[in-house]
Amino acid sequence: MEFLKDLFLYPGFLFGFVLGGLLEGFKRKLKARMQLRKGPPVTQPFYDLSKLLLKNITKPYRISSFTYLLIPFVPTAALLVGLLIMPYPFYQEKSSFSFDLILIFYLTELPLLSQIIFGYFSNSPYGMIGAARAGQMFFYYNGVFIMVITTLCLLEGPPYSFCLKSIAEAWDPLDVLIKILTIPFFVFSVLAKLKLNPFSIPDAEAEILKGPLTEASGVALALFKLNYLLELAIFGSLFAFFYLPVLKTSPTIGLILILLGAFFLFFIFALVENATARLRLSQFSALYLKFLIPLATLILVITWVFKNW
Amino acid sequence: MVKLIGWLLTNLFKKPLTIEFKGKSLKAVRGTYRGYPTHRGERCAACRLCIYVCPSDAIRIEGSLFIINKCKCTACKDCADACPFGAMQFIPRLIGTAISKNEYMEITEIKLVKCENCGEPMPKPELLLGRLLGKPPKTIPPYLKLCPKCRRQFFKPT
Amino acid sequence: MFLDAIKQFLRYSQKKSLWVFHVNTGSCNGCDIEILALFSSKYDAERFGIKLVGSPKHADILLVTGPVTTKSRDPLLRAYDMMPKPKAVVSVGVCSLSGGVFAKSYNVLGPVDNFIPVHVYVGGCSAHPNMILEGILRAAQILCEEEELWSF
Repeated sequence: MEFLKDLFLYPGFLFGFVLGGLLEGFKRKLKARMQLRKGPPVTQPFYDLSKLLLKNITKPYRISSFTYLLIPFVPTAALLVGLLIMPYPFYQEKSSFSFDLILIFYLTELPLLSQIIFGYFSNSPYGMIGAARAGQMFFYYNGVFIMVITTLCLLEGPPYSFCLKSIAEAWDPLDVLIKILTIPFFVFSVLAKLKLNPFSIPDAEAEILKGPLTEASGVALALFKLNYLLELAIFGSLFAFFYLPVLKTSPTIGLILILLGAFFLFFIFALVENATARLRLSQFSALYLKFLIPLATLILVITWVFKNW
Repeated sequence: MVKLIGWLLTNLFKKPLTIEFKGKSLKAVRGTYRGYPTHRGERCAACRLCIYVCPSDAIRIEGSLFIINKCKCTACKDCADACPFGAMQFIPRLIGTAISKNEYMEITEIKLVKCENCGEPMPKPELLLGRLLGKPPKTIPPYLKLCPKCRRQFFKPT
Repeated sequence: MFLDAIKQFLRYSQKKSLWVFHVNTGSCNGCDIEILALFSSKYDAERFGIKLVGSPKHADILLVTGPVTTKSRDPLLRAYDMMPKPKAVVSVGVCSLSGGVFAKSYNVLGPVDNFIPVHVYVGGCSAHPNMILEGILRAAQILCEEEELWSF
C-alpha cells in the first residue's frame, strides 16, 4: 500500500506528471513572452495530453496494435521507477532504494530508445531518418553527460558509489566550485537529451515532419508526451539535486528549492531555445567533439587530481 | 548573441504585441486596406462591363438581381475601375468565415425604371445622360424614357 | 456520472488544444504566408492552444489552401485519411473555396469540398489572419459539439 502511494502519488506518477506539465507550460509561456507574444496558458500541456486520450488511433498498415502501444508504455514504467529512486524530501528517509545515479541515467535513456525503436518499427521514411539522427546524437551528448556524472561522483570521496544522495550532500567550497564549472555541460547535454531547440535535430519539423514520432497517434502519442513530461520532471529535479543544497535544509525548504531549481533550468532552456537556431548534425557533432567532450574530460581530470592530492 | 539574449530578457517585461481577440472587433482594419466590392443598385445601369472584365467570373446578373460571388472574388478592383457609373464600391471590410458557401453570395437588386409605354424594365436614363454630359442632367428628353424597342417604333429613322 | 464528467473534460480539452496540419494543394503561397503570420507576435494563435504540427497523424484540424490540382489530389486525400477522428477541415482562401482565378485551368480539378467534407470556409484573397483564427476556433466549436464526428 505504501509502495503504491509512492508510485502513484508523491514522488511517482502524479508529482512527476504535474511538475513536468507545469515546467513545459512555463517554458512555452516564457518563450512566448520573450517573443512579445501572449502565449498559451501554463496548463496547456495537460489539455494537449487529455485531448489525445479520446482520439482515434490511425496506425500504419500491417503493424501490430499491441506493439504499437507497448513501445511507448515501457519507458513510462521505467520513468516512474526513475522518479522513485530520486531522494526527494519527505520520501528519502523512509525509502529503501539506494538512489543510484547510473540507474537513473539508464532509465532516462529508455524513452529515447523507445522512440528510436518506434521510428524503425513504424515503417515510415521520416521515422527512420529521425531515428537514425537520434541514434547518432545519443553517443555525443551521453559522453558529456557521463563526464558530468563522474565528475560529480568524484566529489563524494574514495568509495565512489554513484549515489545521488551523497552528491547532493557534498557542499565543501571546492565542491561548489567544481559543481559550478559543470553547469554548462549539464545544461548542454540535457538540452540535447530533451531535443530542445539548437539540438532539435531528430524531430525537426518542416524537414522530417516529427521524426520518430511521425506515425504515433492517439493514446500512443499521449504516452510519448507523458514520457516527455516525466523526463522533464526528472531532469529538472536532477538539476536541483546537483546544484542546490536541497538535502542540507529542512524537507519543506528542500522541496521548494527543487521546484525553484527546475523552473530556473527551464528559464535557461527558454532563453537558449529562443536565441539559437537548429544545428545540422555535422555542426552538432563538431560542437561536441571539439569543445564539450574535451572540456568535460579536462574538468574530470582536474577534479580527480584535486581530490587525490 | 549576447545582444539578442539582452533583447529577449527585456522583452519579458514589455507588454505583448498581441491584439485582443473579441468577436466582431476583428473585422476592423486600417483605412489603407482595399477590402471587397459592394454593389449599389441605384447607380447600376446593368451594362455588364464588370462581368466582362472580371478575371474570376465572380459577377452574375440574373434578371434584375446582381450577384457577387465572394467565393471567387479576388479583390482585383477591375470591376470598380471599369464601371462607368461608379456602382461598384470597395469598402475596407474583411470577408468573414462561413459554414456554407451560400453565405458568401452577395445579392443586390438593380434599381431599374419601367418604360413609359410598354412597362419593360430598363436602366435609368439620367445615369446614361450624366455619363454623356459629364454632369447630372436638368431635364430628360421624353424619348429617353422609352425602352429601345419602343423608341424605334415611335421615332423611326428616315 | 463520474465517467461522464471525465468525458466532458476530455471533450473540453479538445476545444482548448487544436493541432493544425497545413496542406497546400497548389495555391500561390499568399494564404500560406498569412497562416505563418497567424503564429507571429501580433496574431499569436498559440494562446488558444493552436499549434502547427508536422504530421497529419497528430492533427485535429486540416487547413487547406489552394485549388485541388491533378497532382495534389492524392496527397490531400491521403493526408485527410491519415488524420485520426474526430477531425475538422478548414478551407482557407478563395482558391480553395471555388478555384478562384485558376478555376478553369487545364490542371485544376475543382474546389476542396468536391473531395473532402469541409466544415468551415474562410474567404478572402488572401484570407486575413484574424479570419483564419476565427475559422479555426469555429471549427473547434464544431469539433467538440457535433456528435457524429465522435462516432468511430
